[in-house]
Amino acid sequence: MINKDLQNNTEDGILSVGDVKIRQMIKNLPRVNAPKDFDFRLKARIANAQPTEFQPRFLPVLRYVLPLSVVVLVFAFVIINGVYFAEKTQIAGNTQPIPVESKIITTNDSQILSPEVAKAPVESAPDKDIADSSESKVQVKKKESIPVEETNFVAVKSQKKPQPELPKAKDADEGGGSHDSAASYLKVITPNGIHVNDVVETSPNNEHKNDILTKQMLLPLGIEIVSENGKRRVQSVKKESIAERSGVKVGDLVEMIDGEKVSGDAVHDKKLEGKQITVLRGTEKVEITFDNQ
Amino acid sequence: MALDKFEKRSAEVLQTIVPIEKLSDHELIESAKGGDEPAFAEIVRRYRNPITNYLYRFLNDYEEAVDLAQETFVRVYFALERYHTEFAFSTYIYRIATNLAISELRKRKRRKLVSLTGFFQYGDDEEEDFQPPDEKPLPDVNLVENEQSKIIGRAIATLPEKYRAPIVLREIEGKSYDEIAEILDLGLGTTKSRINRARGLLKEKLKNLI
Repeated sequence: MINKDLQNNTEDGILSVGDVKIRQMIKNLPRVNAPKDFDFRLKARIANAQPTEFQPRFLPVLRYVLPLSVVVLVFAFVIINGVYFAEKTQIAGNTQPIPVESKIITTNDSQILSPEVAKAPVESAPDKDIADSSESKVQVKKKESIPVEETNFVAVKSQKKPQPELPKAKDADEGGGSHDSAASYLKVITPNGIHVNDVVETSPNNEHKNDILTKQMLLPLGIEIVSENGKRRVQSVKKESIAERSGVKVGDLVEMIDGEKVSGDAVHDKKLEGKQITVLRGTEKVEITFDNQ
Repeated sequence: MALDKFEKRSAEVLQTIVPIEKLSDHELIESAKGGDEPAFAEIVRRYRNPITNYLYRFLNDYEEAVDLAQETFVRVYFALERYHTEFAFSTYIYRIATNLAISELRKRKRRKLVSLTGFFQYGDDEEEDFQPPDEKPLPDVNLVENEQSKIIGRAIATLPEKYRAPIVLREIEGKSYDEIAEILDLGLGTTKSRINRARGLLKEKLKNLI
Protein backbone atom coordinates (compact mmCIF):
# COMPACT_ATOMS: atom_id res chain seq x y z
CA MET A 1 0.00 0.00 0.00
CA ILE A 2 2.81 2.32 0.92
CA ASN A 3 4.64 1.35 -2.25
CA LYS A 4 1.54 2.09 -4.31
CA ASP A 5 1.18 5.49 -2.67
CA LEU A 6 4.81 6.22 -3.40
CA GLN A 7 4.35 5.19 -7.01
CA ASN A 8 1.27 7.37 -7.28
CA ASN A 9 3.14 10.30 -5.81
CA THR A 10 5.92 9.85 -8.35
CA GLU A 11 3.40 9.67 -11.18
CA ASP A 12 1.78 12.89 -10.05
CA GLY A 13 5.10 14.71 -9.90
CA ILE A 14 5.32 17.84 -7.80
CA LEU A 15 1.93 18.92 -6.54
CA SER A 16 1.03 22.31 -5.15
CA VAL A 17 0.09 22.65 -1.49
CA GLY A 18 -3.56 23.03 -2.46
CA ASP A 19 -3.46 19.89 -4.59
CA VAL A 20 -1.84 17.92 -1.78
CA LYS A 21 -4.50 19.08 0.66
CA ILE A 22 -7.28 18.21 -1.76
CA ARG A 23 -5.71 14.84 -2.26
CA GLN A 24 -5.52 14.22 1.47
CA MET A 25 -9.09 15.25 1.99
CA ILE A 26 -10.34 12.92 -0.75
CA LYS A 27 -8.21 10.05 0.49
CA ASN A 28 -9.54 10.53 4.00
CA LEU A 29 -13.10 10.08 2.87
CA PRO A 30 -14.62 7.07 4.61
CA ARG A 31 -14.92 4.02 2.40
CA VAL A 32 -18.37 2.71 1.75
CA ASN A 33 -18.95 -1.03 1.69
CA ALA A 34 -21.58 -3.14 0.02
CA PRO A 35 -24.51 -4.15 2.23
CA LYS A 36 -24.49 -7.54 3.94
CA ASP A 37 -27.20 -8.97 1.74
CA PHE A 38 -25.33 -7.95 -1.40
CA ASP A 39 -24.47 -11.53 -2.42
CA PHE A 40 -27.96 -12.82 -1.72
CA ARG A 41 -29.60 -10.05 -3.73
CA LEU A 42 -27.09 -10.55 -6.50
CA LYS A 43 -27.87 -14.26 -6.73
CA ALA A 44 -31.56 -13.52 -6.91
CA ARG A 45 -30.93 -10.92 -9.58
CA ILE A 46 -28.85 -13.27 -11.67
CA ALA A 47 -31.50 -15.97 -11.32
CA ASN A 48 -34.20 -13.60 -12.53
CA ALA A 49 -32.14 -11.93 -15.20
CA GLN A 50 -32.05 -13.09 -18.78
CA PRO A 51 -28.70 -13.34 -20.50
CA THR A 52 -28.23 -10.27 -22.64
CA GLU A 53 -27.27 -12.34 -25.67
CA PHE A 54 -30.75 -13.88 -25.81
CA GLN A 55 -32.42 -10.52 -25.89
CA PRO A 56 -33.40 -9.55 -29.38
CA ARG A 57 -31.11 -6.76 -30.44
CA PHE A 58 -33.61 -5.19 -32.78
CA LEU A 59 -36.03 -4.37 -29.94
CA PRO A 60 -34.53 -0.92 -29.25
CA VAL A 61 -34.73 -0.19 -32.96
CA LEU A 62 -38.33 -1.36 -33.13
CA ARG A 63 -39.19 1.02 -30.33
CA TYR A 64 -38.55 3.90 -32.71
CA VAL A 65 -39.35 2.27 -36.02
CA LEU A 66 -42.85 1.06 -35.15
CA PRO A 67 -44.35 4.40 -34.08
CA LEU A 68 -42.56 6.09 -36.96
CA SER A 69 -44.00 3.67 -39.49
CA VAL A 70 -47.48 4.11 -38.03
CA VAL A 71 -47.15 7.89 -38.38
CA VAL A 72 -45.87 7.52 -41.95
CA LEU A 73 -48.76 5.20 -42.83
CA VAL A 74 -51.31 7.62 -41.40
CA PHE A 75 -49.78 10.52 -43.32
CA ALA A 76 -49.69 8.47 -46.52
CA PHE A 77 -53.35 7.50 -46.04
CA VAL A 78 -54.36 11.10 -45.46
CA ILE A 79 -52.35 12.39 -48.43
CA ILE A 80 -53.54 9.68 -50.82
CA ASN A 81 -57.13 10.17 -49.73
CA GLY A 82 -56.75 13.92 -50.09
CA VAL A 83 -55.46 13.60 -53.65
CA TYR A 84 -58.13 11.05 -54.51
CA PHE A 85 -60.94 13.22 -53.22
CA ALA A 86 -59.44 16.28 -54.86
CA GLU A 87 -59.51 14.46 -58.19
CA LYS A 88 -63.04 13.30 -57.54
CA THR A 89 -64.11 16.82 -56.73
CA GLN A 90 -62.44 18.06 -59.88
CA ILE A 91 -64.30 15.49 -61.96
CA ALA A 92 -67.49 16.47 -60.21
CA GLY A 93 -66.66 20.07 -61.03
CA ASN A 94 -66.33 19.18 -64.70
CA THR A 95 -69.84 17.75 -64.75
CA GLN A 96 -71.26 21.12 -63.90
CA PRO A 97 -73.60 22.34 -66.55
CA ILE A 98 -71.86 23.80 -69.56
CA PRO A 99 -73.72 26.78 -70.84
CA VAL A 100 -74.85 26.29 -74.40
CA GLU A 101 -74.34 29.37 -76.51
CA SER A 102 -77.11 31.28 -74.93
CA LYS A 103 -77.15 33.94 -77.64
CA ILE A 104 -78.37 31.40 -80.15
CA ILE A 105 -81.26 30.52 -77.94
CA THR A 106 -81.97 34.19 -77.65
CA THR A 107 -82.36 34.35 -81.41
CA ASN A 108 -85.28 32.02 -81.08
CA ASP A 109 -87.11 34.21 -78.63
CA SER A 110 -89.42 35.62 -81.22
CA GLN A 111 -90.12 32.18 -82.61
CA ILE A 112 -90.86 30.76 -79.24
CA LEU A 113 -93.15 33.65 -78.69
CA SER A 114 -94.80 33.11 -82.06
CA PRO A 115 -98.31 31.73 -81.74
CA GLU A 116 -97.51 28.73 -83.88
CA VAL A 117 -94.73 27.65 -81.68
CA ALA A 118 -96.64 28.47 -78.57
CA LYS A 119 -99.40 26.16 -79.70
CA ALA A 120 -97.04 23.28 -80.13
CA PRO A 121 -96.94 20.85 -77.24
CA VAL A 122 -93.82 22.32 -75.80
CA GLU A 123 -93.21 22.12 -72.14
CA SER A 124 -92.22 25.71 -72.24
CA ALA A 125 -95.74 27.01 -72.51
CA PRO A 126 -98.21 24.68 -70.93
CA ASP A 127 -100.39 27.41 -69.58
CA LYS A 128 -101.05 31.06 -69.94
CA ASP A 129 -98.88 32.18 -67.09
CA ILE A 130 -95.84 30.58 -68.51
CA ALA A 131 -96.67 31.80 -71.99
CA ASP A 132 -97.02 35.31 -70.62
CA SER A 133 -93.82 35.16 -68.80
CA SER A 134 -92.03 33.22 -71.49
CA GLU A 135 -89.56 36.01 -71.96
CA SER A 136 -88.49 35.85 -68.39
CA LYS A 137 -88.49 32.07 -68.53
CA VAL A 138 -86.29 32.10 -71.54
CA GLN A 139 -84.05 34.40 -69.65
CA VAL A 140 -83.91 31.81 -66.92
CA LYS A 141 -83.10 29.19 -69.48
CA LYS A 142 -80.21 31.24 -70.68
CA LYS A 143 -78.74 31.04 -67.24
CA GLU A 144 -79.78 27.46 -66.99
CA SER A 145 -77.84 25.16 -69.10
CA ILE A 146 -77.92 21.70 -70.36
CA PRO A 147 -75.99 19.52 -68.01
CA VAL A 148 -73.49 17.38 -69.78
CA GLU A 149 -70.87 15.01 -68.54
CA GLU A 150 -67.90 16.39 -70.46
CA THR A 151 -67.20 19.14 -72.92
CA ASN A 152 -67.54 16.61 -75.70
CA PHE A 153 -71.19 16.12 -74.89
CA VAL A 154 -73.70 18.67 -75.94
CA ALA A 155 -77.41 18.50 -75.51
CA VAL A 156 -79.40 17.93 -78.64
CA LYS A 157 -82.78 16.67 -79.44
CA SER A 158 -83.15 12.96 -79.30
CA GLN A 159 -85.73 10.46 -78.17
CA LYS A 160 -87.96 11.88 -75.59
CA LYS A 161 -87.23 10.46 -72.24
CA PRO A 162 -89.63 10.39 -69.37
CA GLN A 163 -88.64 13.35 -67.30
CA PRO A 164 -88.74 12.90 -63.57
CA GLU A 165 -91.41 14.90 -61.94
CA LEU A 166 -89.91 17.98 -60.48
CA PRO A 167 -90.83 18.88 -56.95
CA LYS A 168 -93.39 21.60 -56.66
CA ALA A 169 -91.88 24.98 -56.07
CA LYS A 170 -93.79 25.55 -52.90
CA ASP A 171 -90.63 26.41 -51.07
CA ALA A 172 -89.92 29.10 -53.58
CA ASP A 173 -92.14 31.47 -51.65
CA GLU A 174 -90.33 30.78 -48.45
CA GLY A 175 -87.21 32.45 -49.73
CA GLY A 176 -83.63 31.65 -48.88
CA GLY A 177 -81.78 28.55 -50.00
CA SER A 178 -78.85 28.21 -52.30
CA HIS A 179 -78.80 29.00 -55.97
CA ASP A 180 -78.58 25.29 -56.80
CA SER A 181 -81.53 24.33 -54.67
CA ALA A 182 -83.54 27.20 -56.09
CA ALA A 183 -82.63 26.16 -59.61
CA SER A 184 -83.68 22.60 -58.94
CA TYR A 185 -87.26 23.75 -58.36
CA LEU A 186 -87.51 25.68 -61.59
CA LYS A 187 -89.28 24.11 -64.46
CA VAL A 188 -86.86 24.06 -67.33
CA ILE A 189 -88.21 25.36 -70.57
CA THR A 190 -86.67 23.82 -73.62
CA PRO A 191 -87.33 24.10 -77.33
CA ASN A 192 -89.67 21.56 -78.80
CA GLY A 193 -88.20 18.12 -78.98
CA ILE A 194 -85.21 18.90 -76.78
CA HIS A 195 -84.82 17.53 -73.37
CA VAL A 196 -82.40 18.84 -70.86
CA ASN A 197 -81.05 15.43 -70.10
CA ASP A 198 -80.68 14.36 -73.70
CA VAL A 199 -77.05 13.92 -74.52
CA VAL A 200 -75.29 12.83 -77.58
CA GLU A 201 -71.64 12.32 -78.11
CA THR A 202 -70.02 14.75 -80.42
CA SER A 203 -66.68 16.31 -81.07
CA PRO A 204 -66.06 19.88 -80.05
CA ASN A 205 -65.29 21.23 -83.53
CA ASN A 206 -67.22 24.06 -85.11
CA GLU A 207 -68.94 21.93 -87.72
CA HIS A 208 -70.63 19.87 -85.05
CA LYS A 209 -71.49 22.95 -83.11
CA ASN A 210 -73.07 24.41 -86.20
CA ASP A 211 -75.04 21.22 -86.74
CA ILE A 212 -76.39 21.30 -83.30
CA LEU A 213 -77.11 24.98 -83.26
CA THR A 214 -78.81 24.80 -86.62
CA LYS A 215 -80.95 21.96 -85.40
CA GLN A 216 -81.84 23.93 -82.31
CA MET A 217 -82.71 26.94 -84.42
CA LEU A 218 -84.89 25.05 -86.86
CA LEU A 219 -86.69 22.77 -84.47
CA PRO A 220 -89.07 25.46 -83.14
CA LEU A 221 -90.08 26.08 -86.73
CA GLY A 222 -91.03 22.43 -87.06
CA ILE A 223 -88.01 21.40 -89.12
CA GLU A 224 -85.95 18.44 -88.10
CA ILE A 225 -82.69 18.17 -89.95
CA VAL A 226 -80.00 15.58 -90.16
CA SER A 227 -76.38 16.19 -91.07
CA GLU A 228 -75.04 14.24 -94.03
CA ASN A 229 -71.58 14.84 -95.44
CA GLY A 230 -71.50 18.37 -94.15
CA LYS A 231 -74.97 19.16 -95.51
CA ARG A 232 -78.10 19.67 -93.46
CA ARG A 233 -80.96 17.69 -94.95
CA VAL A 234 -84.52 18.15 -93.78
CA GLN A 235 -85.52 14.84 -92.34
CA SER A 236 -89.06 15.68 -91.30
CA VAL A 237 -91.38 18.62 -91.20
CA LYS A 238 -93.87 18.85 -88.40
CA LYS A 239 -97.45 18.83 -89.48
CA GLU A 240 -99.24 22.14 -89.32
CA SER A 241 -96.05 23.83 -88.32
CA ILE A 242 -94.91 27.16 -89.67
CA ALA A 243 -92.33 25.29 -91.79
CA GLU A 244 -94.93 23.09 -93.40
CA ARG A 245 -97.11 26.07 -94.15
CA SER A 246 -94.16 27.92 -95.61
CA GLY A 247 -93.36 25.04 -97.93
CA VAL A 248 -90.37 23.33 -96.47
CA LYS A 249 -90.11 19.81 -97.86
CA VAL A 250 -88.44 16.68 -96.66
CA GLY A 251 -85.13 16.26 -98.48
CA ASP A 252 -84.38 19.98 -98.78
CA LEU A 253 -80.81 20.86 -98.01
CA VAL A 254 -80.60 23.85 -95.69
CA GLU A 255 -77.84 26.15 -96.86
CA MET A 256 -78.53 29.51 -95.32
CA ILE A 257 -80.43 30.98 -92.42
CA ASP A 258 -81.26 34.65 -92.67
CA GLY A 259 -78.83 34.85 -95.58
CA GLU A 260 -75.92 33.43 -93.59
CA LYS A 261 -74.32 30.13 -94.48
CA VAL A 262 -74.97 27.47 -91.86
CA SER A 263 -71.54 25.98 -92.38
CA GLY A 264 -69.71 29.16 -91.40
CA ASP A 265 -69.28 30.83 -88.08
CA ALA A 266 -72.34 32.94 -88.61
CA VAL A 267 -74.62 30.52 -86.87
CA HIS A 268 -72.95 30.96 -83.56
CA ASP A 269 -71.33 34.32 -84.10
CA LYS A 270 -74.30 36.33 -85.26
CA LYS A 271 -77.66 36.79 -83.77
CA LEU A 272 -79.91 35.09 -86.32
CA GLU A 273 -83.67 35.28 -86.06
CA GLY A 274 -84.54 32.38 -88.34
CA LYS A 275 -87.04 34.37 -90.41
CA GLN A 276 -85.79 33.10 -93.72
CA ILE A 277 -83.93 30.01 -94.86
CA THR A 278 -82.42 29.09 -98.19
CA VAL A 279 -82.69 25.44 -99.17
CA LEU A 280 -81.40 23.47 -102.11
CA ARG A 281 -84.19 21.41 -103.58
CA GLY A 282 -82.68 19.15 -106.20
CA THR A 283 -80.59 21.62 -108.14
CA GLU A 284 -82.78 24.57 -107.40
CA LYS A 285 -82.21 27.05 -104.64
CA VAL A 286 -85.40 28.00 -102.84
CA GLU A 287 -85.73 30.86 -100.40
CA ILE A 288 -88.39 30.29 -97.81
CA THR A 289 -89.58 33.09 -95.61
CA PHE A 290 -91.53 32.33 -92.47
CA ASP A 291 -94.39 34.55 -91.70
CA ASN A 292 -95.78 34.75 -88.24
CA GLN A 293 -99.17 33.42 -89.10
CA MET B 1 -14.75 -30.31 -26.25
CA ALA B 2 -11.89 -32.36 -24.88
CA LEU B 3 -10.05 -29.15 -24.19
CA ASP B 4 -13.01 -27.81 -22.25
CA LYS B 5 -13.07 -30.91 -20.11
CA PHE B 6 -9.37 -30.60 -19.51
CA GLU B 7 -9.66 -26.97 -18.52
CA LYS B 8 -12.56 -27.75 -16.23
CA ARG B 9 -10.64 -30.54 -14.58
CA SER B 10 -7.54 -28.39 -14.24
CA ALA B 11 -9.60 -25.67 -12.58
CA GLU B 12 -11.05 -28.25 -10.18
CA VAL B 13 -7.56 -29.51 -9.43
CA LEU B 14 -6.37 -25.96 -8.85
CA GLN B 15 -9.28 -25.35 -6.53
CA THR B 16 -8.55 -28.43 -4.53
CA ILE B 17 -4.88 -27.73 -4.24
CA VAL B 18 -4.78 -23.93 -3.94
CA PRO B 19 -7.29 -22.15 -1.68
CA ILE B 20 -9.77 -20.15 -3.75
CA GLU B 21 -8.75 -16.92 -2.07
CA LYS B 22 -5.28 -17.26 -3.49
CA LEU B 23 -6.34 -17.72 -7.10
CA SER B 24 -5.81 -14.82 -9.47
CA ASP B 25 -8.74 -13.04 -11.06
CA HIS B 26 -8.12 -14.71 -14.39
CA GLU B 27 -8.02 -18.17 -12.83
CA LEU B 28 -11.25 -17.48 -11.01
CA ILE B 29 -12.85 -16.29 -14.24
CA GLU B 30 -11.76 -19.45 -16.01
CA SER B 31 -13.27 -21.52 -13.22
CA ALA B 32 -16.45 -19.47 -13.29
CA LYS B 33 -16.71 -20.01 -17.03
CA GLY B 34 -16.83 -23.74 -16.33
CA GLY B 35 -19.79 -23.21 -14.02
CA ASP B 36 -17.84 -22.93 -10.79
CA GLU B 37 -20.11 -20.83 -8.61
CA PRO B 38 -17.70 -20.43 -5.67
CA ALA B 39 -15.15 -18.95 -8.09
CA PHE B 40 -17.66 -16.32 -9.18
CA ALA B 41 -18.65 -15.74 -5.57
CA GLU B 42 -14.99 -15.08 -4.78
CA ILE B 43 -14.82 -12.50 -7.59
CA VAL B 44 -17.89 -10.83 -6.13
CA ARG B 45 -16.37 -10.89 -2.65
CA ARG B 46 -13.18 -9.25 -3.92
CA TYR B 47 -14.80 -6.47 -5.91
CA ARG B 48 -18.16 -5.74 -4.29
CA ASN B 49 -16.77 -3.18 -1.83
CA PRO B 50 -14.40 -1.32 -4.20
CA ILE B 51 -17.05 -1.16 -6.91
CA THR B 52 -19.74 -0.04 -4.46
CA ASN B 53 -17.42 2.61 -3.04
CA TYR B 54 -16.37 3.79 -6.50
CA LEU B 55 -19.97 4.07 -7.65
CA TYR B 56 -21.00 5.76 -4.44
CA ARG B 57 -18.35 8.45 -4.88
CA PHE B 58 -19.28 8.76 -8.51
CA LEU B 59 -23.03 9.12 -7.94
CA ASN B 60 -23.17 10.29 -4.31
CA ASP B 61 -26.19 8.01 -3.80
CA TYR B 62 -25.69 4.82 -1.81
CA GLU B 63 -28.81 2.92 -2.94
CA GLU B 64 -28.10 3.71 -6.55
CA ALA B 65 -24.46 2.71 -6.09
CA VAL B 66 -25.42 -0.68 -4.64
CA ASP B 67 -27.95 -1.24 -7.41
CA LEU B 68 -25.42 -0.42 -10.12
CA ALA B 69 -22.74 -2.53 -8.41
CA GLN B 70 -25.09 -5.50 -8.57
CA GLU B 71 -25.90 -4.72 -12.17
CA THR B 72 -22.17 -4.65 -12.85
CA PHE B 73 -21.78 -8.18 -11.50
CA VAL B 74 -24.83 -9.39 -13.41
CA ARG B 75 -23.24 -8.07 -16.62
CA VAL B 76 -19.94 -9.73 -15.75
CA TYR B 77 -21.71 -13.02 -15.04
CA PHE B 78 -23.53 -13.09 -18.37
CA ALA B 79 -20.48 -11.94 -20.29
CA LEU B 80 -18.02 -14.40 -18.79
CA GLU B 81 -17.70 -16.29 -22.07
CA ARG B 82 -16.84 -13.11 -23.92
CA TYR B 83 -14.23 -11.97 -21.41
CA HIS B 84 -10.70 -11.90 -22.77
CA THR B 85 -7.65 -11.85 -20.59
CA GLU B 86 -5.96 -9.04 -22.55
CA PHE B 87 -6.92 -6.59 -19.81
CA ALA B 88 -6.70 -6.96 -16.08
CA PHE B 89 -10.05 -8.07 -14.68
CA SER B 90 -10.15 -5.01 -12.43
CA THR B 91 -9.89 -2.78 -15.53
CA TYR B 92 -12.73 -4.74 -17.13
CA ILE B 93 -15.08 -4.53 -14.16
CA TYR B 94 -14.34 -0.85 -13.48
CA ARG B 95 -15.04 -0.07 -17.11
CA ILE B 96 -18.45 -1.75 -16.88
CA ALA B 97 -19.20 0.09 -13.64
CA THR B 98 -18.13 3.43 -15.13
CA ASN B 99 -20.31 2.95 -18.20
CA LEU B 100 -23.30 2.06 -16.03
CA ALA B 101 -22.69 5.08 -13.83
CA ILE B 102 -22.44 7.42 -16.82
CA SER B 103 -25.66 5.98 -18.23
CA GLU B 104 -27.32 6.54 -14.88
CA LEU B 105 -26.13 10.16 -14.79
CA ARG B 106 -27.55 10.75 -18.26
CA LYS B 107 -30.86 9.22 -17.22
CA ARG B 108 -30.91 11.55 -14.24
CA LYS B 109 -30.26 14.51 -16.50
CA ARG B 110 -33.18 13.52 -18.70
CA ARG B 111 -35.42 13.10 -15.69
CA LYS B 112 -34.29 16.47 -14.45
CA LEU B 113 -35.18 18.06 -17.76
CA VAL B 114 -38.63 16.52 -17.73
CA SER B 115 -39.47 17.24 -14.13
CA LEU B 116 -41.10 20.56 -13.40
CA THR B 117 -38.72 21.31 -10.59
CA GLY B 118 -35.86 20.90 -13.01
CA PHE B 119 -36.86 24.16 -14.63
CA PHE B 120 -36.18 26.06 -11.45
CA GLN B 121 -32.85 24.50 -10.59
CA TYR B 122 -29.35 25.31 -11.71
CA GLY B 123 -28.82 22.02 -13.45
CA ASP B 124 -25.42 22.48 -15.03
CA ASP B 125 -22.72 20.21 -13.72
CA GLU B 126 -20.16 22.87 -14.42
CA GLU B 127 -21.76 25.22 -11.97
CA GLU B 128 -20.61 25.40 -8.44
CA ASP B 129 -22.88 24.46 -5.61
CA PHE B 130 -23.65 27.35 -3.39
CA GLN B 131 -22.36 26.34 0.00
CA PRO B 132 -22.37 29.14 2.51
CA PRO B 133 -19.74 28.78 5.18
CA ASP B 134 -21.14 27.59 8.49
CA GLU B 135 -20.23 30.23 11.07
CA LYS B 136 -21.71 28.40 14.06
CA PRO B 137 -19.40 26.66 16.53
CA LEU B 138 -19.37 22.94 15.93
CA PRO B 139 -20.06 20.80 18.97
CA ASP B 140 -18.57 17.53 17.96
CA VAL B 141 -15.40 16.67 16.05
CA ASN B 142 -16.95 13.54 14.52
CA LEU B 143 -19.87 15.54 13.37
CA VAL B 144 -17.50 18.02 11.80
CA GLU B 145 -15.69 15.22 10.02
CA ASN B 146 -18.94 13.72 8.77
CA GLU B 147 -20.12 17.07 7.59
CA GLN B 148 -16.79 17.69 5.87
CA SER B 149 -16.99 14.30 4.14
CA LYS B 150 -20.46 15.13 2.91
CA ILE B 151 -19.27 18.43 1.51
CA ILE B 152 -16.34 16.78 -0.25
CA GLY B 153 -18.60 14.01 -1.55
CA ARG B 154 -21.04 16.57 -2.91
CA ALA B 155 -18.20 18.55 -4.46
CA ILE B 156 -16.96 15.43 -6.26
CA ALA B 157 -20.48 14.56 -7.35
CA THR B 158 -20.94 18.00 -8.88
CA LEU B 159 -17.86 17.67 -11.08
CA PRO B 160 -18.53 17.06 -14.77
CA GLU B 161 -18.60 13.33 -15.45
CA LYS B 162 -15.49 13.48 -17.64
CA TYR B 163 -13.48 14.80 -14.65
CA ARG B 164 -15.31 12.86 -11.98
CA ALA B 165 -14.41 9.34 -13.08
CA PRO B 166 -10.63 9.99 -13.39
CA ILE B 167 -10.33 11.78 -10.03
CA VAL B 168 -12.31 9.10 -8.16
CA LEU B 169 -10.32 6.31 -9.76
CA ARG B 170 -7.08 8.13 -8.98
CA GLU B 171 -7.56 9.52 -5.50
CA ILE B 172 -10.15 7.17 -4.01
CA GLU B 173 -9.47 3.87 -5.75
CA GLY B 174 -5.74 4.52 -6.04
CA LYS B 175 -5.46 3.44 -9.68
CA SER B 176 -2.43 4.28 -11.77
CA TYR B 177 -2.68 6.62 -14.73
CA ASP B 178 -2.26 3.70 -17.12
CA GLU B 179 -5.09 1.77 -15.51
CA ILE B 180 -7.34 4.83 -15.54
CA ALA B 181 -6.52 5.43 -19.18
CA GLU B 182 -7.46 1.82 -19.96
CA ILE B 183 -10.64 1.89 -17.89
CA LEU B 184 -11.85 5.12 -19.45
CA ASP B 185 -10.44 4.26 -22.86
CA LEU B 186 -8.52 7.52 -23.00
CA GLY B 187 -4.98 8.53 -23.87
CA LEU B 188 -2.50 8.91 -21.07
CA GLY B 189 -2.10 12.65 -21.67
CA THR B 190 -5.85 13.23 -21.64
CA THR B 191 -6.17 11.22 -18.45
CA LYS B 192 -3.49 13.26 -16.69
CA SER B 193 -4.91 16.57 -17.81
CA ARG B 194 -8.40 15.59 -16.73
CA ILE B 195 -7.17 14.59 -13.30
CA ASN B 196 -5.32 17.89 -12.95
CA ARG B 197 -8.36 19.80 -14.10
CA ALA B 198 -10.53 17.87 -11.62
CA ARG B 199 -8.15 18.80 -8.81
CA GLY B 200 -8.31 22.43 -9.83
CA LEU B 201 -12.10 22.40 -9.87
CA LEU B 202 -12.24 20.71 -6.50
CA LYS B 203 -9.80 23.25 -5.07
CA GLU B 204 -12.16 26.01 -6.14
CA LYS B 205 -15.20 24.23 -4.76
CA LEU B 206 -13.57 23.40 -1.44
CA LYS B 207 -11.54 26.57 -0.87
CA ASN B 208 -13.42 27.16 2.36
CA LEU B 209 -12.15 23.87 3.74
CA ILE B 210 -8.53 24.18 2.66
